[in-house]
Amino acid sequence: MLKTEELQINIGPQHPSTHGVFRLMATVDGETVVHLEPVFGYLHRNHEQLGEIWTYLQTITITDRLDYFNSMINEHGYCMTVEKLASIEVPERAEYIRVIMSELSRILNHAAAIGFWLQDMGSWGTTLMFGFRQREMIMDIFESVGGSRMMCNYMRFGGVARDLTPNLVEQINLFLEGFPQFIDDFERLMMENEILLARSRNVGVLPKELAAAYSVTGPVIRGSGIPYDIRRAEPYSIYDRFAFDIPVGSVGDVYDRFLVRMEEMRQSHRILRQAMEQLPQASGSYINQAYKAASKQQGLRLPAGEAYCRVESPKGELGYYIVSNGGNSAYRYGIRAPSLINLTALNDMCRGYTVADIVVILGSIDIVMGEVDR
Amino acid sequence: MRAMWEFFFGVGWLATLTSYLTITTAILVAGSLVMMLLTWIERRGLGYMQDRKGPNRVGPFGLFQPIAEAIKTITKEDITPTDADRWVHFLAPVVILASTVAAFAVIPWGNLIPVDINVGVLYIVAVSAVHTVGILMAGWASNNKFALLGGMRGVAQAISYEIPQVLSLVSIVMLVGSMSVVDVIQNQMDPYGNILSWHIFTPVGLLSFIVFWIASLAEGERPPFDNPEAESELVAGYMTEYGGMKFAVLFLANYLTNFAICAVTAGVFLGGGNGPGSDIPILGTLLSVFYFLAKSLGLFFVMVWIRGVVPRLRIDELMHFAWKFLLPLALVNIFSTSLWIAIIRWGAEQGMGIAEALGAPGSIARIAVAWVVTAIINVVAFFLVARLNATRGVTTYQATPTAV
Amino acid sequence: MLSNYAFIGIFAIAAITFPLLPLILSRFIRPRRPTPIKLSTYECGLEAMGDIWVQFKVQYYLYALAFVVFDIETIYLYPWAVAYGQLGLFALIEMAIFLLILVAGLVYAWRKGALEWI
Repeated sequence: MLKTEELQINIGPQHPSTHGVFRLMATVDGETVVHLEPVFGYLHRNHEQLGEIWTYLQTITITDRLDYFNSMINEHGYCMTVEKLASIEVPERAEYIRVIMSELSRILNHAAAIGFWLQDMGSWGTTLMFGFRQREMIMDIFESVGGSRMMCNYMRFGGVARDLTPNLVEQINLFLEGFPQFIDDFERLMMENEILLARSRNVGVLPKELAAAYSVTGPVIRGSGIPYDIRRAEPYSIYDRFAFDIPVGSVGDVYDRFLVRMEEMRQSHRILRQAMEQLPQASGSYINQAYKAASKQQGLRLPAGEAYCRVESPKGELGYYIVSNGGNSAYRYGIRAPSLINLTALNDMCRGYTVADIVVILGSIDIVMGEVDR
Repeated sequence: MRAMWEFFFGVGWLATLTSYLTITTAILVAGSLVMMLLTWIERRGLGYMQDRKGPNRVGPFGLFQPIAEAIKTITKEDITPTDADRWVHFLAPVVILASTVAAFAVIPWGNLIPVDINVGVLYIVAVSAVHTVGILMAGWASNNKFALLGGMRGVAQAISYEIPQVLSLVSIVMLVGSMSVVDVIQNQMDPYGNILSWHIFTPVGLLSFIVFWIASLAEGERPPFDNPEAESELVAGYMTEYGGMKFAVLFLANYLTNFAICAVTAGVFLGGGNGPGSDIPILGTLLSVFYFLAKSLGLFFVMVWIRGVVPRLRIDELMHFAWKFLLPLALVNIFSTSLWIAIIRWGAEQGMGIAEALGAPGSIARIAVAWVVTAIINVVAFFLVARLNATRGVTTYQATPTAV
Repeated sequence: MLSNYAFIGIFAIAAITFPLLPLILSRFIRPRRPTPIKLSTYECGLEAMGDIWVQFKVQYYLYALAFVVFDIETIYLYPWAVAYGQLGLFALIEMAIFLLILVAGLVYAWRKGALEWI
């Protein structure tokens, strides 16, 4: 056989499809990937350190910047951790509002993630724009409740910042009505596409055992066939009240992750329907009144102790760990970021596939660098 | 010898030269204008497919956007990387654009025919194949890994798809009996303006059209075959290190190639400028140019449409598609074309005495038999080749919700 | 006929001038402020690692070999295709045999795995 030399390529940090400033050191033989080494840290912003300096209330605003596609779920997890530490009661209506916002976030994230994934595959933005249209509608809702489209800063300790007005309830219901039509269209646009099947089937396979060994979570582990979802494994908030299913893939390849995301959007829609029906009418109970004042001023001091809480973010298991020594900011503050943990399996998923597959596999993991580098 | 003497030293040579230069300039200007229109169609078309507007600020409907871009690129700083091979890096866009433009020498714009040479079809194929060299030059000289990969892909893809493309044209050359582009278009002319005389409306022509169109998409690096410049993988492929006017030249070459593909497809398969009223003396010329442009731009819109909906193929799938799908089909089509001609046109003196039982050459019965025979061969071949290429052992997928 | 090719010649010269013209024209208009960083090779914002002009993977060249075989065969097909309408049954059978040999070659390459992308 003729001697060929391997070529070392830097994919990133300035590359169209690395989803932010992220670097992949790939060693390729022709088109085939021999070795792949993810290098990250370009977007490090001292998040955890900031969380130890800023007060608890201020820290909510920077949790938005973790995974900027679903700020609502980030806030949800953080508020739950603080509430656990301070034993703050959350009113019923507030819990429902939180669930509604979280699930809207999940739809937003998956619609955009699938769009970006197809963009990586070379679909020139049509699916991305389809997804972004839904994202836009959800962001309008977020803007109405939180004042900002992406960095919502909506959740507070003991509830949420503002109540849902009847107008907003109407707006959410309107969105939910149109959504099944969208998801059917979306599916018809892609599901049977021959090229999509050829590009995604049996690509980036992550076997069940390996997935568990890497402790990946979210759609990646569910695509590999393990029905692990925090909403079921350890129901938080009021998720035990809703009927929903956990989609599971069978092969663990890129296509399975895509199918899981599609089905999760439907399930989120199902949860939203139930939540909107059950939403308690008592207005004003959107926040625990005893803590309303505390949440406005900076004076919230937590009792000494530690707490860990985890939520199911669209990317996987998002955990917050707070140690308090009685002051008004955390003594130690740590985050289990799902994107980072999922990224560790990348080398094993990519080895042996081609350069073109790297970006598709990376897109299927669905990372956000804000969360990976923190 | 005498003709040559007269040509060079006779009275008419200056007039001939002037007329040639005028025609050349007219073609280049018209080509550039059409290219501008194409970029506009592409952006607006994609925009509407993607639920957004596209460029709509510069001039009416954003029509002057390409002009604004031309001004921008011509005033933009030009960068040649220090590590690059300077001259090859500079010459690559020239080679690519020159080879593309040269093909326009024989492409008729409706009834306006620049020149009719007897090997026109072969000339187009041969000249546009030169741009492969340019791609390799660009990819290699940039001294950039993405460019190198893009260049390698570009060459592998261009040479692989050239074979089905050229073989599919063999069928048409057989039907026409000439390699002149003008003859090819004349052959589809029907005195009654009947569009059924187009080559695409025969079984052999249809299969030839399918093979040619797909192979041409790959030759022109259009999605889903845009691997050499795959944006999400190779940044911009072999164009990565090109900026300013050099990039504009590559961009121009890209769209002119696309237009050439559409124009050739329209001419070879869709009757070129033929249409109702295209044979009237002066008005017909205008009409034929209109028909030609309408057909070409319609085909270009199909390209945009394809770009709007499909993802990109991976390089191995791409190669397999050329060698294992298009090539066998093109070979089968040559065979069925020869049967088509034998059944319809040949009499006893060509050894087809059996066919005389159906009637004289060109009779309805003969055409019907030829239709049935070639259609059966082509359809069977299509499904057979598709089956040979089908992936085996596909695992059943289910992401059905499981209640846990 | 000769004048037709004269036109092709003139057109070829024009085709080469066409890209050169704006390239030279822009030389007088565009700014020129090079810096070492600006002129460095693009590799996603980092310095290039390793050599670029290496012994590249052989796979691309194997296709080139197959291409040469089939392209030359195509050149033989064209004259036959032009004359086919006037020829007879003999030409049809002859060409069928020629095509069959080619198909045999294709099948051989396919079976051998020469068409597979490694």
